[in-house]
Amino acid sequence: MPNPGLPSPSTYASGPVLTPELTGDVSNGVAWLNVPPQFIGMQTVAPPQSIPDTATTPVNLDTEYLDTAGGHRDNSNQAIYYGMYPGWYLVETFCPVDYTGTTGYVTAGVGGQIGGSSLTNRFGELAPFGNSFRAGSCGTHLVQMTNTGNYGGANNDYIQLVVSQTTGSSQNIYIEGSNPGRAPYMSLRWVGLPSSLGTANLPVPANPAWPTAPAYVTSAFLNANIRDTLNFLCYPPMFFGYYNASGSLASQNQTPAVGTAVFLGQTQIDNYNAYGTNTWTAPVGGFYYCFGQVGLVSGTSSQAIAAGLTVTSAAYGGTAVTLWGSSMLANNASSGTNAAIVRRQLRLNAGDTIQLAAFQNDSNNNGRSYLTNTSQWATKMIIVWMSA
Amino acid sequence: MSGIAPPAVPVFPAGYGPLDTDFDSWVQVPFTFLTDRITCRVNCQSSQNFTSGVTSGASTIIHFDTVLEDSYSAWSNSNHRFTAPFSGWYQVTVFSSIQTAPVNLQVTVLVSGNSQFSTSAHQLEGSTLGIIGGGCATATVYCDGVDDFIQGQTIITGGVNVTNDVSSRGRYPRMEIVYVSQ
Repeated sequence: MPNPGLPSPSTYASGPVLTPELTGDVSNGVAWLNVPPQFIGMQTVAPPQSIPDTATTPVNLDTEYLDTAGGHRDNSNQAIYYGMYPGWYLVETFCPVDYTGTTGYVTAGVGGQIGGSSLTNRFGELAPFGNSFRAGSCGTHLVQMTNTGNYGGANNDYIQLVVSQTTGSSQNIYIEGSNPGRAPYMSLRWVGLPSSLGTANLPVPANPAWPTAPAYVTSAFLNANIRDTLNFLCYPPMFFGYYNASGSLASQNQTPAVGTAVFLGQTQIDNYNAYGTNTWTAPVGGFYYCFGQVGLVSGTSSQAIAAGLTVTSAAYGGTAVTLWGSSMLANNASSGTNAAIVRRQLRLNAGDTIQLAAFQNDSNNNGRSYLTNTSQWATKMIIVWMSA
Repeated sequence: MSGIAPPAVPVFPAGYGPLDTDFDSWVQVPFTFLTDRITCRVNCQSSQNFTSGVTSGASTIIHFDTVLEDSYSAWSNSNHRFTAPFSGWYQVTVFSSIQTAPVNLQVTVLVSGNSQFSTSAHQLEGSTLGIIGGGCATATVYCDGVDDFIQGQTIITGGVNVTNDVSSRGRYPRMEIVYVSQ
């Protein structure tokens, strides 16, 4: 069939069902969900791009591994992915720098344009240099694109991989030729309809067998097993919240079994109303993509930082446990920035809970302030339902 | 309903009198796959010693030894790998923990032995405090069904006789895989 369009399933009434209606709903929906808008690009072609000191720079992605919606070109505008369909996109990024000195750090994440205005850069990890190691920074973001479909259009929403390094001079992107394969990377995938079009608070589709005579298909059956199924799969439970208060995190000697919970007071999306008082509660069972980031103000006595996800679920032992992520060396610049991430895909039952957890160690036992939604390294959590 | 293949786009022929079984194949089967996708979750609950390089780094396949879920029976504990049952794109997340520091840590996703993208590459604290370190990797990778397999890999430099940390549930090395698209 032709390229599928954004699913918009019918509401069925009693009476004949015509094949165009089934084709428009089921065939289109299956085609769309089989191959949603998706992009994976890297920079692999020498010479590597030069990144100026302390200048956030879009990274040219000269190699496409996947581009199902045609939002990118590998021979022009290499740093830009234009949104071709509206919706929420899960974006994953990584960028290393070819520097083995001891000065500064690298950080990478998502930039671009949304609604005609520059998107606030949203960086992931902040990875200090040292130990003769070419560090890289990874991160995840969830972004809604709505001005779409016009590649290269001045007001079309777009996403970029951006990187910043603070070594004191220009450095090249690191392109590692073979195993291991460090190189700049951006992956993005459509995961849900725009909030203005989605239908929330639906159950996970049951997908029963179709009625056998003398039973017959009713409009209620069609609406439950075509319309609502597509509506759920095209707008599954999603959460994205930022920290927006003014608190600080005490120093600890080691990542504890249950970390300090962080309240995320600014919501970007919570379509199933699952978040409250620093806890997200699974509205339905499923396999969830979960990302957490802890951003903190750094100091000269900062030693280590980590982000975790505190899960309370029978699938993870029944009692609360923090699944720690990148527990790493901290940046120790005065009044600077630190950021660490955690990323998991978790099996949850309805009613299971997740909290964002934070850890930092300071050699003078100082507390460190959280970075809020206004910071490029904002403290945040993202959760997206992936499968039953 | 398990073990079903990624669906073809159904065709509804006009002028055809379908049976209920036709609708099962046109609607129920593809929607079932798209709802309940190929998934796998494993962790490592045993101590594993990573060798350590100085310049190029020593690479070690993570020995995940405990299967938490494997909806298509694709995991092999003997080879520590997930063999893709069907061709397509898979979202992979990997976490590796390190007991001894200071080291540099990379965590990567491998497909049939080849590193896809090293998506965690940073230093760990530990020179004075010995804070346990870890790294998270993620990648969306393409696998040819039956032929390609997915593994997690840890690469460390700067330490000696570095081991993973399995002292608590929150520190277990883990890998999670879900099929996302054709």
